[in-house]
Amino acid sequence: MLATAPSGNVARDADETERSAPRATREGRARQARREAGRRAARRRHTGCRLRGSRALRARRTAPSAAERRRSADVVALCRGRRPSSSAREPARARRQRICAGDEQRVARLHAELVEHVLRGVARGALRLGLGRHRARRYRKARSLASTRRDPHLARPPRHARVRVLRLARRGAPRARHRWLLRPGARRGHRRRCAARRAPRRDTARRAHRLALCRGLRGRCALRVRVRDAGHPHRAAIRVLDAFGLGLFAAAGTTKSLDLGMGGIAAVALGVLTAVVAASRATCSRGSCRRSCAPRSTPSRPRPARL
Amino acid sequence: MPAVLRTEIYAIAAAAGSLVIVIAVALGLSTPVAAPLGALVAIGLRLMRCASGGRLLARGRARRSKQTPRRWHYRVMPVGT
Repeated sequence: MLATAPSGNVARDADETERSAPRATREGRARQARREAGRRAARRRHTGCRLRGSRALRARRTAPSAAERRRSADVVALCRGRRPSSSAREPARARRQRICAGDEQRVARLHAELVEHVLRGVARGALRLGLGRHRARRYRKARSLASTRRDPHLARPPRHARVRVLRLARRGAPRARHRWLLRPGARRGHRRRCAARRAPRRDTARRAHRLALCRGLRGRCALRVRVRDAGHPHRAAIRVLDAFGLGLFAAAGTTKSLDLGMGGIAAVALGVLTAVVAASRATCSRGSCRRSCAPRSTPSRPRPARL
Repeated sequence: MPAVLRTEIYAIAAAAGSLVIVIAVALGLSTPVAAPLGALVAIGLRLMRCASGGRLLARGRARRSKQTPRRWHYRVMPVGT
């Protein structure tokens, strides 16, 4: 057997020493049993986590560096509409250049962190950030700072939060202005499979937690997220005016038909035709219907972070 | 059933308003009285639909064709990569 030189890595050396020791001794067996028990405990603790066993433990021990912490604080400050503290001294133009110049990946990462912090409830009011498909591709490649491995918020949520998540997950198709956020790698139908079929009933709490982790979000406000700028900014007013136009055109068409001596059914049909054609033409003129009538079909406009 | 009657309460609201006008005229009301009644019915139905967010007269989950992409897959969030 060849003797290996110490590599400098204490953990690995200890591991190799332990492996080379005779297993038959009582001490070796006890050590082995302790290690196994530790692994089992870790596996139990991190069942819902993406990383398993000792990898999860190791990842959890890894603390973010000072620069990462500073950048995270900057993102939080951006979310709250303040100036980032670490770059408060440099002028805005230089900061913008530093962040934006030719470094799309980094900007994407920053934006992604911003979105993530917003989604975590740091600044719910600022949830106006739309990620179009073209940006989403970039974000998929970008590594997030507050990842699953480092985030202390991803400890198990309290019980009621899990139940809330589960209910949200089971509630069915999202309505208008609500979107489901998927983490990269999630396939189509992933949510439905997770929520409905895969796990048995008794496993509900763990499954809900896994769902929350799956989206990298936490408990209460996690799964369903309101996106505020999906659609026309004045869509409420447009809808009210559209309703008034519909009613007036219907009344005008029907009364005109009755005045001209038509029967009841013909008058109703003409009123409907007048209302639908005229009101829809009036509302959808100049291409506005693409945003006002079908807000769900229109991906919302990407809005960059305020850098 | 045509889509204009199925997807949105648009033609249905107009038809209800027109029907109210026709019935009111048949009952002997004058046209200047019946027309605002019908218009109010149509406007009310349409506004109720807007306020309820599409849940009015909706039965269960809307059917989607295979070609129609699901909206909640549009956004991808980079978490834990």
